[in-house]
Amino acid sequence: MHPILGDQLRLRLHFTAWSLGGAGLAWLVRELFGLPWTAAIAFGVPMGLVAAPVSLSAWYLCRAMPLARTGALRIGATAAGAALVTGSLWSALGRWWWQLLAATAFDYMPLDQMVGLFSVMMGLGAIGYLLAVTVHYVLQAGEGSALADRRALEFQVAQRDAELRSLRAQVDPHFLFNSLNSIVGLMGSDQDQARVMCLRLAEFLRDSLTLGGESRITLAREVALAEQYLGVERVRFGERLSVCTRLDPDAADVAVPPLLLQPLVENAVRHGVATLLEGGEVRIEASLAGTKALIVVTNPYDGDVRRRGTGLGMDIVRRRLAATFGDEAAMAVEAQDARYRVALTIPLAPTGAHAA
Amino acid sequence: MTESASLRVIVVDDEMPARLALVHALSTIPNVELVAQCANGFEAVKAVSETSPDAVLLDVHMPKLDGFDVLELIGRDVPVVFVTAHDEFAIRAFEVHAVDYLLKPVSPERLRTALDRVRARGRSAASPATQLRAAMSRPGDVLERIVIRDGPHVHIIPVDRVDYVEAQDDYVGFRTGGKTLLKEQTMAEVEAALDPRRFVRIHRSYLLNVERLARVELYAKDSRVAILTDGTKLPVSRSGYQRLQQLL
Repeated sequence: MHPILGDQLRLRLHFTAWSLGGAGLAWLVRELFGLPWTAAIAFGVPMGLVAAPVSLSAWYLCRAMPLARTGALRIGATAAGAALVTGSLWSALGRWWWQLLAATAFDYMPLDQMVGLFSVMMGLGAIGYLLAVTVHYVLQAGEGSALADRRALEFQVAQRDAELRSLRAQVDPHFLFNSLNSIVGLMGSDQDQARVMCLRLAEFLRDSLTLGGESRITLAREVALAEQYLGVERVRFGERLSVCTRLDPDAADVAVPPLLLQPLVENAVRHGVATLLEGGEVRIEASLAGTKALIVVTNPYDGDVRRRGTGLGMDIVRRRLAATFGDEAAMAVEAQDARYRVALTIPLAPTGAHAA
Repeated sequence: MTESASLRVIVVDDEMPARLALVHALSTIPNVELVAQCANGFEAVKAVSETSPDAVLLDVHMPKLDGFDVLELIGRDVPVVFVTAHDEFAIRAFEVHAVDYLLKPVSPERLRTALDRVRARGRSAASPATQLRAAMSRPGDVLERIVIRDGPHVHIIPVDRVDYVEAQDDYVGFRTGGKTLLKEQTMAEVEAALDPRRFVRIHRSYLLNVERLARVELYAKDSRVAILTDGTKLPVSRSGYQRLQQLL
């Protein structure tokens, strides 16, 4: 796309600049030869206007020799050659125009006194052309960076979309296999428990699949989902796992991405309670704190063993928070006195720019 | 062991329903006798030393002592079949080392095949636990605690409480808190598992926790001795001294 022809405003500016150049030429011939304004303008302005479209051809030179991939010498030589040719042609055109004007309208414009003028015009034409080349190069560079900016932006958007998709919370497959194994085990000796497990598992799976497709659910729903998950795990771990959830009614309607807490409660069981012979309690507390909602998941863990394998789940939560709320959300992790505590702080109203 | 002899089996899993699942599957297989059910690794080690079973069905993820710890403690005495939920990482390690493993939920048919394999191979079914652990661990992972079996009891010693490790015939002795605990392992295995920035092989027979080192003294030409913070003296070989210098 031609950077000037393709843009109305630039095209108008371009022609205005060249008519001013023509006016300058008129002023010059008036000063040099004492011609009246009418004759000087009749000569200069059309000469300027005729140069305007011609100078647009500089674009093809710029396009054939992009700055980044062409040597300065080659650009200089080509541009100078083209400038000389264009300047000569323009000067010749000027001579012909002068003759025409002298023959028809202004009989006081004798050609023989003006020979010096056409040499000056050749120089001016060449300079004008070189200027046009420079302007086109500048525009080309601007065009290139604008394109790069747009591509970078498109790339960022695509990347964020992909990230959100990949971060869409999923239920750990181990959980399914372990739950099925528990059902198999309970089937023989405790059919009632087996039935409870089947029903809880079905409810959790149905809700997590349905809600997982939403972009936002209420915190009340999210906490309930975590409770359902822990309800299934309680059958598996028996008395070793206890669960306590506290949801401040004021925080119930806060909008969160679905299954945001899932990696946290999975970790709380797998790397927390399950590492202890006697087990322990997983606690989920959600409340309002000023303009933010505070969600805290705590669990005991075996302080003698370094926690490992929790990084991925934590990372997913952190990145989902960032992708959803920008830097308005925060996650703080604390491991002290054999208690693991993850605190999420999220804004009450998600900002439009980050709405997923 | 002949096909007709009954196979004495121990089931180890920290989840009650999972134990029930295995017990039920075992009950469908002829010539199998369930001798113990254990809810953790400690109980497993105790049960193995008390009942000398023919096979152990062992869960991988358990508190305090996991399946690998238990295998390390009992693996040389009894064939172990791992039972785990979907874990590609573990599966790969098991495949490499040809220890049988079962995926939860376990079908009675698959369990039967595994036990047939145990019957056929006898005690050679398990490969050394340390190899398995090495295959399971990620690069850069170092041993953080040492599990040592003392009859039916299990000691768990954090490595920073080990002063030094000493080779003793077929065993290695871990010196900690004024006493030495013996473990059936080679020095090379121990050296490979410990953090090389903390433990240095100062001598063919000694692996030293450098934090216990007070000074090194020359007592004869090319002969040095390491003096520990508690006054213990250990020989330092020439190459051991070089390794020590490199680290410090």
